[in-house]
Amino acid sequence: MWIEPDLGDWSKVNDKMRNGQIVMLAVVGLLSLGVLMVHSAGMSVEGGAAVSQMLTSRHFLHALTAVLAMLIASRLDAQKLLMRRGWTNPLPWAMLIAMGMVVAAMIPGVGLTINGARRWLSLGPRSWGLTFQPSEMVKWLMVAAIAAWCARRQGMMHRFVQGILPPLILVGFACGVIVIEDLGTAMLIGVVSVGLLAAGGGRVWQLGTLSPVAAGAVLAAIMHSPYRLRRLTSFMHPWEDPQGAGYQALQSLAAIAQGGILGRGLGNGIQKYGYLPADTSDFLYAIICEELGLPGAALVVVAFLMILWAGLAIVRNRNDVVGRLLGLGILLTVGLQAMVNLGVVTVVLPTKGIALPLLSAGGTGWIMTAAAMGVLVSLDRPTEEGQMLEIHPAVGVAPA
Amino acid sequence: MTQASPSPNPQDNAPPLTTTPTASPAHPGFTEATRGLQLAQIRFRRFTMLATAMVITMTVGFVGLLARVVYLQVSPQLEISQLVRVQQQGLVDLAGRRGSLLDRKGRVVATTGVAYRLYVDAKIIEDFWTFSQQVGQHFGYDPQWILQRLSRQPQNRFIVLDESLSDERVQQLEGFNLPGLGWETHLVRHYPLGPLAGQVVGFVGRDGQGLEGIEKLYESFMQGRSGGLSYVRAANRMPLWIESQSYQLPQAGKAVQLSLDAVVQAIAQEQLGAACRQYGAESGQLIVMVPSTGEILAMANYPEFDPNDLSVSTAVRRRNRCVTDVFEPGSTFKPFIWAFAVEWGLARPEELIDCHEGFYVSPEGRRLRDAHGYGLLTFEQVLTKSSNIGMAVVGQRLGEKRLFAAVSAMGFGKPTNSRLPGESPGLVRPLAKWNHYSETSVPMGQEIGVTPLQLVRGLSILINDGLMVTPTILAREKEAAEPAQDELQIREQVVSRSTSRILRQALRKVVTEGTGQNANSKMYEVFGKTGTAQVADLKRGGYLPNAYVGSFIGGAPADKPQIVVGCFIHRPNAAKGYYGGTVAAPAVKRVIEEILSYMGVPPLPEPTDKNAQNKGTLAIRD
Repeated sequence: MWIEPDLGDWSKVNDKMRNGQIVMLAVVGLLSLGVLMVHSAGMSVEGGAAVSQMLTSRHFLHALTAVLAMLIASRLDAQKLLMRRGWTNPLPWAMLIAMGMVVAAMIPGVGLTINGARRWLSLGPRSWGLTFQPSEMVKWLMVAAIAAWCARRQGMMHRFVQGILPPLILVGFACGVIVIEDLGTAMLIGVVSVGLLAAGGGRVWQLGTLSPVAAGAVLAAIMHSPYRLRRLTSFMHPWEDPQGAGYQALQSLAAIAQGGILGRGLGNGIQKYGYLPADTSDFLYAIICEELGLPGAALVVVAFLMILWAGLAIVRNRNDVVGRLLGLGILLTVGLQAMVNLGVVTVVLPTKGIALPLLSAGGTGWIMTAAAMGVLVSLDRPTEEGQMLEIHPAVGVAPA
Repeated sequence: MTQASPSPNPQDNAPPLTTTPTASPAHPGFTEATRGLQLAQIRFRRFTMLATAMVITMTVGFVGLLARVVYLQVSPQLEISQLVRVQQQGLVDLAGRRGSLLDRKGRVVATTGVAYRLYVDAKIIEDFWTFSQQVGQHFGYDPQWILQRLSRQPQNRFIVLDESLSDERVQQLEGFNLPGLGWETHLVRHYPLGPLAGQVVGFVGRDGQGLEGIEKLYESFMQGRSGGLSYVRAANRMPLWIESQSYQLPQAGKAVQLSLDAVVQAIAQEQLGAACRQYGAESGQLIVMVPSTGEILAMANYPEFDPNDLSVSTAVRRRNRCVTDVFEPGSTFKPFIWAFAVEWGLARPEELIDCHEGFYVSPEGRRLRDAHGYGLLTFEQVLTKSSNIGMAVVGQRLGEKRLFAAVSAMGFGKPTNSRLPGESPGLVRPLAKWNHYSETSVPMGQEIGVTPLQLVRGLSILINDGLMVTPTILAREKEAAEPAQDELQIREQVVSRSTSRILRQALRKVVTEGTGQNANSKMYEVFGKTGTAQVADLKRGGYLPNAYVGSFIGGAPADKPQIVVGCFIHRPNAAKGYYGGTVAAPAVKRVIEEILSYMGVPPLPEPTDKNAQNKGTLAIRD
């Protein structure tokens, strides 16, 4: 993988935009594959989304919107927006609204119940098919919040009370609310936040001390909910109930096995005809493996690695704390989420309601993730000279 | 802020960056700013390190997951492959149509067609009562009967209501959709001629395999080879597409053409049935054979059996007793011994034989009686009057060995090679077990067991120039199931042509002057021999009282026999009559008249002279 060798050399115009372009290329590629495969996986005996109408379908519209969102987001100056002082900083407000919606989604009648979990809100009329999970919003906002906090408190992050405790309380609260309906997203938010705090200056041992607490919380959440426990046991012993709890895992394995190295060919999959549940969303990767074989499976992984490494180069070229942490947070979120999804599909991890970013069907998911990618791209620009010395006054060192 | 202030950050204790050229004690404020810059750089370096480590970790994770995918693609669990096969592969059997059975003129005797089968999946029916009512009313079944069948097997997913729907019910299927009710097509064997030659044709089992009769005999020839295809199906079991190269064409079986003629068979069954009913017989057989070729034109059994209606038949009824059952023939056996006595010069037709006025004691002390006592009879008259004593006397001249040789030469005691299923070889005891009784018993058809087919075949040999013939149920001339290799064989001369001619004359006299006058026809010169045998008591030995087999074997026309007919009436009501000349001869006469007319054999001219009536001779035709 390509690594920017010279950290200081970000002034050359030709090099400057390259990483962003790589990210955008990967995003557009993944979205295109997503639209294609969602339609292929959506084929059914009864009809369903006709492949012939792919270019006029809502999935295609969602993908176009997602690309548009990415382009718009790439024009933003995230650093300026997040570092605003006082009431004009949108971050606290957005976080409040998002948390409010998480709670609202859990209220019967307001939230939608899909696949037994009440964690969706409808955007506009139901017929648009635009549902979204407020927890997804919290996921991205938390990255921004921690990045902003670490930027403000740089130099103090090694302290527990002034440094990492306040963001940890926020993370704990958010995860505590989200975990009620969505353990997977809560765990993702938790892990990304801790990683980000460590990268932002937090002591690893301090954060590590918290891990038993986090593990206990996760365990409690699992034990508290019978279906999570069932998922866990069925993950470990899928053959005990092949038609029930173990069904999804076995069908996913069957899809991958049937495709083999070469795959059945685009559109030729069988598992999508009622065998594999959630074939267009959480288990789309299994369908990709079945139809496109190893080339398709590898293409997806390569696209994500392109985003990770080009993103890392962007981040390393930043000289401002908020930009660096924001970028890293986005990378961690996308990377870990994709890994968890692949882990679930390949039955390395128990089943979770975690989508494959930019591929799994879901209009708002695509749009929000693409927008986050846009933010990452927006970081791929030179910071002003002075910003490098932007050090919080509490440390006592002010730029000259 | 001074350098002396304790630093809370261990990073701050890192050795000062000596490479920083701006660090100069002369400008403390600037030094502090530089120190801050240094700390920021350290923090950035730590960040870079951690970020890179995280991305590397994720990269390793991704590569690992991809490796996992490859592993799952290349060597999936065996159970996964089985799961896939079981849940996704649907199989369709395409049955190969069974070959038809045709009579010698190409009329269809048995054929295979498509039928609709109506079945019920009891497991998915919510309410048996409602279902039974709906189905019963729509198709006209008894709802109570459906309800009973469902209640008996509430978990059965395949309860057949009707194996073969009638045409009206098939039409009613259109648009009638009720969960739990299903129909499918399947091949059924159909016998358009019904009970015609039912026991010969036999029948097939539920899966179309031949179980009895011709259906069993030529199973390998007639059976179709089933094909099939496998298809991929969706989870709701709807077929998606046919798997490539899985389609195997079914192959229809070949048709078999029988020697039977449906018209002749109908005549035979009609007359046999009429005779049996008239005399209250328990059972009866009637065989029509072409003497020159051995082709069986008709093989009738009474009571009749319709292969379309297996369920209402008994095993005894389904048996082709023309070949399976053995009985003591009685007087119908006399021509065989008579012919050999003449053939071997041990008796001449015109030689006078002392019949001892109807009561005779053999040298060994056996007492014999004739129904009518005669004094001296020519040997020919012994046959026409059917004298037991006359035959016994000549039988003693032949002796055990020659008698045995004659019986064997006629093919008794061996299967006729007709290959009809269940054919019995008959009962001829080995020579070693013969005794002095045999010399007198065998010539009059006792102490010996034969099948009706053996008798008819035997007569065919004797009256057809003494040429050996093998009975066959297959049409000889047309393309048959197996090439008739028998035709290439050189046929054995069992008795000489002259003996054959002499016997024909004698048998003609049986009909014109002797015991078989009831068989005498105005249309054709019928010849033949009557027989009245007692039924042996197998349990206690001896014979059953009032149990007889009245029979007649004969043929026509006498100068050039076209057909040989044997009619056997088992256990007629003795009060109504039991002599072969009474119960069997008239039936044979009518059968011969009808069959020869049908075959286009010109009848005798109308008699102009009243004296010529009942007095036909061999030379009467011109």
